[in-house]
Amino acid sequence: MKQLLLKNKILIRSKKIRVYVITAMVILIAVTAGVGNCLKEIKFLQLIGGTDDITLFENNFEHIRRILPPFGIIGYYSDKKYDARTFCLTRYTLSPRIIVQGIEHPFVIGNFSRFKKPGEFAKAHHLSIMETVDKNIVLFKKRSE
Amino acid sequence: MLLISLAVPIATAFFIVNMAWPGKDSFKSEFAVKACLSIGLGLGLSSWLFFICLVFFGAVTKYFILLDIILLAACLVLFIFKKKNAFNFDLKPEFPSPESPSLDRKCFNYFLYAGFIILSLITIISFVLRVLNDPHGSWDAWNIYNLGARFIFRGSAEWATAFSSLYDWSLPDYPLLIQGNVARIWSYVGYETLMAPVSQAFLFISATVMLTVFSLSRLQNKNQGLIAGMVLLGTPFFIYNGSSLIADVPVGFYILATVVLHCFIDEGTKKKPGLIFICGFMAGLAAWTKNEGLLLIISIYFARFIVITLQKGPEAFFKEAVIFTSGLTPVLIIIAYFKFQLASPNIVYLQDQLASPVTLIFNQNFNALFNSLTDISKYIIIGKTFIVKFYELEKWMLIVFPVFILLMGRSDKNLNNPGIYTSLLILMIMICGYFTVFLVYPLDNLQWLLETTVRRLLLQILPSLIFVFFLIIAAPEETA
Repeated sequence: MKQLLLKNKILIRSKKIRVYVITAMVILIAVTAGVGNCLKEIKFLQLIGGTDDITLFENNFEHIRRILPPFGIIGYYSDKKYDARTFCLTRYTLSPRIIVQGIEHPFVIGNFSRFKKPGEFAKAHHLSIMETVDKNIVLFKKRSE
Repeated sequence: MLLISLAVPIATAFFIVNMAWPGKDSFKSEFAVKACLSIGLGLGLSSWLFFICLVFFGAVTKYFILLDIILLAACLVLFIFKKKNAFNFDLKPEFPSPESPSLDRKCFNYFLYAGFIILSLITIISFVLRVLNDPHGSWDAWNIYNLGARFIFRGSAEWATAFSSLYDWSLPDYPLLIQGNVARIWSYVGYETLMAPVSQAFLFISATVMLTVFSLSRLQNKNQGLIAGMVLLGTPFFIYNGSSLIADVPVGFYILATVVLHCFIDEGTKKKPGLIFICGFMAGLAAWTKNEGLLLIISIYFARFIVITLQKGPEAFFKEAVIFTSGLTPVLIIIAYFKFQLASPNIVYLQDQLASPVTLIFNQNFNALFNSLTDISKYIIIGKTFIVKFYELEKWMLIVFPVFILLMGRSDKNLNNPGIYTSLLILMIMICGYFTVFLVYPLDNLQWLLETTVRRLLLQILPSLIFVFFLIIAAPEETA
């Protein structure tokens, strides 16, 4: 009888330990993952120095936003091979204007590599430089014929 | 104003959920579950209403605020009218325990509470850091969702142009729940603030975690709910993706809500038409969040057809399907209007769509389809990616699942609840659906597509998987 009681007690104790172990395991894994995530974000925050690139991009375009008409289609030209991000950021910043690839519109945003000069490009395509956003990005206006 | 813009629709949804909830005994009974459901329902309902106003008035006007307030007042009056004779403030505790817990049990409870609180704090810190790093969210967040919101808010009467053929690069046919809600909050506040998408994302993350915790606490056991919540909080990609301000966590919430509601619908023998209606609306909102929601709707019909027909016969299924469809229809109408009238208004766009990979799937000839379906190497690639991505999603937490099965065993508590079988079937059909789409995908960049999408698709069903898993597994109290 005593043995049976002891056996029962051990069984209950082992079940309790089992529950504690598995719960501790969940907490440990979850906390480790969460802390790891936080550390990664802190590292990234230190790397970017507090300002993200989209906010910087939008700040650069602030003046252009005021010049352009509130609606309508704006042309976009780039001589860079991989330019999807700048194109999308331009579209995001200048919305609700519609940005489309091409230079046949009254206003054109040009994004140039160091191999092409905006002035020469403007001359060749009957455009005039309206505003320079930074050393690469320029706003052109179509010259009347 | 930001708080009001969020509080008004959530309060409205809370009264609606209360009216639909079976049993008139108490306002506070199952309060937590109802509150969690109300967050998602409120955000979805407000987006739905905002879109209707947008279409009706042609631009963002302040009329929708008036409509929001009228709806809130109407729901409040109806709620009071319905519950007037049924209020019972002598409440039973939300999670009644039959006996006072022993010292050991108390220690275990404190242990769990402490773990959950610490994890919640870590999650909040992680969320804030991620938002500080990327206040506009990830690529998809600003390029699809915030862009859409800006078009609606800044676009005035021209807002619909954003979704025209000129703009197909940013997926103009993406449903508008997230974008619409952000634009709605901006209209309330009067200016653009990144706090709108951020607070929406935070609400969806919290609602998903809390719905998992409280619904399991109610259907299974309080401790089981807390453990499940911790497993979800311990999934780094869940927090990362949620704080990236994209739609995977919101659609995951709506999938979880429909799964949870089915478990409540099937609990006991009482008929619950109100819950079925809400469930239909929630499923619709999933489709109004992301196109994957359409697969959820199909899965629900299939799963319920099998479960109810086997249990009660086809007549019972058709009765339920009518109520479910009536909840679903209001959302499906705006989805259809958006997709056929606004997102694809001209032939050029339709031609573009016909050339898109999605349409190509349906345009393949029988031979090509047969070849895809019998290509064993595709099965292996897709299956392998699903396993690898599920590991990447859960990482070390993956160990927890087999350990739980081995050490805790199966619970006997919900064996008679057909909701569990419905939930399992819904998730299985959804996974099979995703698998089939990849299988018949006709282009050569399948590996790239798998790499970029599978983890996010699995994340959408993860909260529901965790919920069902912990509903089936025995709770610590059952074991110890």
